[in-house]
Amino acid sequence: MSQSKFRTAGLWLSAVVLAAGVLFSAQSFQTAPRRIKSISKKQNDLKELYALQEVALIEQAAVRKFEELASSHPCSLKDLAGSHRADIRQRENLSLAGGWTLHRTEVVFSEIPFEAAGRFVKNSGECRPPWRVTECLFAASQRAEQAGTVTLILEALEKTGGEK
Amino acid sequence: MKKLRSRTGYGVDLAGGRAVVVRSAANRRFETVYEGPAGGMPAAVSALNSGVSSGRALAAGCQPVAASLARMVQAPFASVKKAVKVLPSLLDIQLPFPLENCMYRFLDVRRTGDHVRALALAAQTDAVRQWLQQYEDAGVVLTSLDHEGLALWTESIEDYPIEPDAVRVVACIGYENTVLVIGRGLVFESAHHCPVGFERLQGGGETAADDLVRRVRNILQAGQIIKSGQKIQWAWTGPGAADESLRTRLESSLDLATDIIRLVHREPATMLARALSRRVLSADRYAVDFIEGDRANPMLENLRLRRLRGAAVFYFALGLLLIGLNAGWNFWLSAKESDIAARIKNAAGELAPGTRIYSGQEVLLVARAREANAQNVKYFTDAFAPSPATLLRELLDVASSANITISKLSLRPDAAAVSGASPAWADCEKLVPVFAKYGFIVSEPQREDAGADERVHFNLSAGIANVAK
Repeated sequence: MSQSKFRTAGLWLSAVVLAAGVLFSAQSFQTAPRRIKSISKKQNDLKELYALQEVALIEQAAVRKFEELASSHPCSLKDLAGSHRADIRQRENLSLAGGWTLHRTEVVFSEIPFEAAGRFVKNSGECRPPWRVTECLFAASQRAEQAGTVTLILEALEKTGGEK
Repeated sequence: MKKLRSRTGYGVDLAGGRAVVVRSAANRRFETVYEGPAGGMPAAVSALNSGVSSGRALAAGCQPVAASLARMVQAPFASVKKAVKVLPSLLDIQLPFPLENCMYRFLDVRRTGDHVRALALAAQTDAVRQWLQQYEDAGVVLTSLDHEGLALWTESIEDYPIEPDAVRVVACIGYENTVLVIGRGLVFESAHHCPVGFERLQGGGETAADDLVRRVRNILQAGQIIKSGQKIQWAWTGPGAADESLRTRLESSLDLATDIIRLVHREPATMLARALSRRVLSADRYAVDFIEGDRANPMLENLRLRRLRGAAVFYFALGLLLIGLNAGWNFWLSAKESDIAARIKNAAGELAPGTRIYSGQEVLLVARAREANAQNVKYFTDAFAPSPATLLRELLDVASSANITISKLSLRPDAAAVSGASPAWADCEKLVPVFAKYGFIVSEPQREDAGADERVHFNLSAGIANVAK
């Protein structure tokens, strides 16, 4: 090949490489905003997932606390009521994942000092697994002050299946 | 061919065995590098040649008016494009030698009315070669061969601006010849040569002067240059112009009218070289070069090739750089995108095990999966939330300490109500902060009619706020 052909080929090669570079730059310039937007959206998604992960960790920690309890059965409400006359009725049993069951129980005390009902609520909450009051109604009696009918809705979790 | 660009220009004027070399810079400053016998300029020539060979400088000589022709040619077309095609034929008619044996250039091609005018410059090829040989013999490497008449004209206009309707005659008394360049306004019109120079004028006395005057008069009469009422400027230049007595003698012999403005160019002996050095750096409508194509200087051609090669390498490297940068940028974007996608997939997998997660819908699918599982974990987390039992305990304690008699108290996760009686209105309001502490918004306590017990009876209700304490 003559020197002139080499020169022409070299010039063409330079022109082609430069054109390729310019076209590649134009294409990158055109697509960059879309790709950056997509990355930004993914980063936001990741942030949301990390936030959910934090919540999930708290939930897992809560379940683990229950799993680590020495006893898997909540204490007897009848025993906690002691000498006070209590009408205890099982309202609902709800099966949950992991072999856990939620017991929802209604306890009705007639003619009980409110102070004693408060103690019952406190003691039931200190049981392990605990009883948790979700609703309560104190209605004073005509015959005595600070005493009357107390209706409580309590919930407790019990491990009824799986490992323990 | 496109003019090479440089910052330094050399102008070389060779005439009568003498040489003048002037160096100019792009800012138009100039310096006379050499003025003397043509054989004694090795130092000036070596600097010039090394500048040219390294591509840092350009050097111009000139084709003398004596060995060239300058003619105005006129094509009977209004189209410049069409006219350009016939200009060589029109020039051929005016030439005393065949067009094939000469080099020609058309400058300042422009439409005037319904025809096109151009300034044609022509020189016999042999004359150009012969003249280039003189430069080679003097050891000078030229990058361009300008035209003496045009160089004198443009430099004269540069030195002394001219009125648009004035005629200027530039009379350059060289060592061997005298050149007359005539123009009107900024437009060059003609260039003429008289074979009487400074050497003859100095040695030949009156005979040489008379000869010169006769020839000049012929030129002026033929061109009908000097007419009454015409503004005329007479500009002296060349080595002979420095001789004031010679100028006076010639002006007297030429019988120049008193209203003709007489000018003498500064440093007249070096004016042509100065003009050449400046013109080689700039490109105006009168730029011309007789050495192009196959007659081009090999060194200049090498320089052109080197610059072309340099440009090719530069653009090749620039192209590669752009490709590299873009490839890198795209790779980085892809890597970042993949990394985030992988982290999203992992996080989604951990949050919703067993759920099929589609790309781009991770947050939605995880949220749905968690919603479905919410019931299973709610009771566990609720156990660690502030207990209503604590609220109940505190309410009972406050009621006891404030001597409030509770007749009815109901407490649900989202609402609460208390009714009872207190010794004073302010006492029942002590319950409000307790509710507020647990995130309840308490409405204004309602006062009821006083009973026989003379206590304040009240009703208090509360609803849950967004954030529980």
